[in-house]
Amino acid sequence: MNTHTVTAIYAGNTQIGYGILITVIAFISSVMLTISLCPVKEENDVARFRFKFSLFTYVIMSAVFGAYLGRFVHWYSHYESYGSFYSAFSSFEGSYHEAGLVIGAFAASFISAGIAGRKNRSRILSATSAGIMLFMTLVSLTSMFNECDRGKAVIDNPVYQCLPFSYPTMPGSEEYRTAVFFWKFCILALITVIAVTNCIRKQSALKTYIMYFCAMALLDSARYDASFLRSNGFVSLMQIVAGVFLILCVIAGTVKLIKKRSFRAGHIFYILAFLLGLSLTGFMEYYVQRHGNLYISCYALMAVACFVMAVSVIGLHRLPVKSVKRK
Amino acid sequence: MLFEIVKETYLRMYDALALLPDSRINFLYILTIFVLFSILTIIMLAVKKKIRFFTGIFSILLTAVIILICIFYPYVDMLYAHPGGNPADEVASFLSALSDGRISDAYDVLYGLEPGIQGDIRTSLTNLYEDQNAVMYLDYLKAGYGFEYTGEMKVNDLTASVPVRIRYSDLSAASAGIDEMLDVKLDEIVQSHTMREVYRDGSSYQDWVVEEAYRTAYEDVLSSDPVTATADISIDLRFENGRWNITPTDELLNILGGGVCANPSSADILYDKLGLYTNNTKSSILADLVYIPKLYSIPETAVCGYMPDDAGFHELTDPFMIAEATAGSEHLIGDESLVFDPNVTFATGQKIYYYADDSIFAIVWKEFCNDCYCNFAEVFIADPSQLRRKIAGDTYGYGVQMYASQLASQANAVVAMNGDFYKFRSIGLTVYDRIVWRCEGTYLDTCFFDTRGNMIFSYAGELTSKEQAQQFVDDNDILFSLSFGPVLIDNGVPKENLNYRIGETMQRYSRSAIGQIGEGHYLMMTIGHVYPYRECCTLKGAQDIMMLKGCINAYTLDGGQTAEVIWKDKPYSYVDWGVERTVSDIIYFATAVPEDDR
Repeated sequence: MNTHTVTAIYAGNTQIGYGILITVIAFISSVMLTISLCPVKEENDVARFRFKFSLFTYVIMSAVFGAYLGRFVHWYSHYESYGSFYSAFSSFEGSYHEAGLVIGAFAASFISAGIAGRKNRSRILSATSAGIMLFMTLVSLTSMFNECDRGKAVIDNPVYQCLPFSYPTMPGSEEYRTAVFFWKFCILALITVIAVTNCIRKQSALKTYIMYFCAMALLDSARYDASFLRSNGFVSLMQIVAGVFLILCVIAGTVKLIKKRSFRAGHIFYILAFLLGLSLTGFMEYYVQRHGNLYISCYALMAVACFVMAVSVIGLHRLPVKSVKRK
Repeated sequence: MLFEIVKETYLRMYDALALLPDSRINFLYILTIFVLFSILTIIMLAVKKKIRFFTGIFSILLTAVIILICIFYPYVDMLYAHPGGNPADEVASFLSALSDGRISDAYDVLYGLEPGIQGDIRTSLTNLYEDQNAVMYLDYLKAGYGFEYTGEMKVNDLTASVPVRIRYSDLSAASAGIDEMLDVKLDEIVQSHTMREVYRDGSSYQDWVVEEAYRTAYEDVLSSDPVTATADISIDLRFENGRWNITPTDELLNILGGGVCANPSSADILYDKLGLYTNNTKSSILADLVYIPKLYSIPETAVCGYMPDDAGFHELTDPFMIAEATAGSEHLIGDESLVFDPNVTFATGQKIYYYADDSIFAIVWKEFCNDCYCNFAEVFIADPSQLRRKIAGDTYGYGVQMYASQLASQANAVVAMNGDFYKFRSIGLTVYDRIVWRCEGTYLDTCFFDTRGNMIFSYAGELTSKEQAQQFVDDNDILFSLSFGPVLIDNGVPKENLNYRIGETMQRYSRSAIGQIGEGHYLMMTIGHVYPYRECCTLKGAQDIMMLKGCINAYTLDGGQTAEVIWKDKPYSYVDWGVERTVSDIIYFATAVPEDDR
């Protein structure tokens, strides 16, 4: 996400870009969504205060953690764009890495959920996940106003240039590229709706994050300004974070089943399906870098692989767990 | 204030509604349906006490606002535009600096700097060319500026327009005057000296006669009142970064250049171009009397070369016709021998191309050399400024990566090849625009290019601190560096490279390298997987080939799928897997002959 964009408002000497404007409105919108999904049902004044306080702390912490972690991750992968580590944090305008934003906001939600207490923890986590997804959906649109989040292929055919997923490389430019941000907006909007539904049905927030990272593993591969580790220019940072998160989810799900003595032989297929999806995603990533002209088929296969991963990991976590009888 | 912003935003969107295409109108309908549906859903859920009503509605409405802004952009360029300042002040400042002959100050105003930053023009130009002629041209240019307003200023949001009539010295008229005066001065000298003093071999003038006649001619013409031309233009301004900035249009820049220096986009470039113009005008005027080579150069701050002449690209259908191809480029080739040899084994069915103009001769071909499928590009350039480096976004550290052919197209390259792909790794010493950006010099050899186009090497571990590296760059007048390596050949001596950190030196891999054969004479090479030659070569193999081709200096660049030679703006060499990969940089050669000088 980059807040350096075309100017939206000029008042005297004050200049506000579309990026900052949309980011602020998106943040307020996501906070409103989170609060709306957390109706206070406590009868006790103390419990009610605790619940409201947890929401209040979430708002503050998500902004701070998300901004600093997002900027830190961007500094790590693009340190040469900044004069120094300290100068990277001297201004809020500029680039933030999405993984940092999401992880920072998630950390804030986790702390807030702890403050809210065990009874409301899952509700807070679900509501905040929906808010985070709404925020990420809306800030993806800031790429309309700068040169970020475009595909590698140039679209020369005027017939395709008028389609919604085709967009100028830079505002006002005559060169058109695939608008990866458009696909990101659509997919994340769908995930947001699912997250809101999850929250209302009191389902786990984990599903939301699994879907998010599976989607980002695919979308980040398609963009021409992906961020990489300093030591490796092949797999993007977002893909690495997504892979690590999903592997941890599989491990956590498996361990939970084993601890509850609910793990069956058939459950191994979920793990195998995940590994298959992960391997196929990795292979297609390698293949599309070597054969960029086959990007349509490569990304179609990668989408299938990411879908298989999402389904297998979510399925693993939704498997029935038998309750252990106490002696 | 917030209310005013909202009100103006609404009015702008309302006015832009008529401009929206059908597709965006459809999105508006979808948005409306979405908002209504969402509000209904929120009402239902709020009744069941599953969510809060007001915050839910607020969230939906804010989301709709964002989507609305995106639907209307770019038909609504800005939501609220009431900038401060007066554009007329900027225009007045620029025009008064111009009419006072303070060209540096005029450029400072043009680019939003404080006047006086550029320094004294005269001194820099004299130092640059040590030519009184160039200084007199500059004084002539400065003396001719004047202006008058021809209409009212118009302001529209963040743009403004001021119609003016600008008077400027017509340098081409001055040059024509010098040409006419030359005959008069020659005649005067001939009449006042003996035949032996004036003529050499009875037919041509002595050198001093030509020089003296030219000097007195230009002194006469350039010290008189300037011949001027006028241009009625509209000075456009745009409010950016808190101030009104004049848009440097081609028309305005041509006026600054006296009508002969095309688009001098900065004071430095104007001075460069004026110096070149002075030399090349003298060359043209004295063409019948004495040969003066024309000078061509690309300004150091330019982000690309001049557009090559399409008529200069040719295909060499018969390798043995190379002598015809190089005819006209003898001044570039000089005493050097061509690496291109018509007697080698060329790749069957592959074309040989060349480009020739007054400033560059480049030829590309494919041959089997030491059992390797090699792609070569041999280049002769007139000026070191034609060997350049292009990085994506023209900004060091820019996050975007592009195909090398796209970068070559942006750079107006005649021929190009992959660079060191500096964005791929965090080690190495990188210099760009004379600045050391990264100094991790422990593991990699570095190849520097100085202002004379020479390749200078530093080896792994030699330059380990940024201060040390910057001192080295300043002392050696370095423009940019390449950071992959290793060094293959240094001053004609092949180097040992068995334990190099990157580049799979011992494996058979696609290779790329750049070498220097002489002053202004370079060779670029890639070696690739091409059926039936699937096995490329080790680094030693690449080194042997560069030695065989006569390179006195040679340096390895990034191999594998990155390795490619680009001819004009298309890949010429076979790229691994048949498809380019996105990269962060290229190295290229461009023509220095401006489009309007052909």
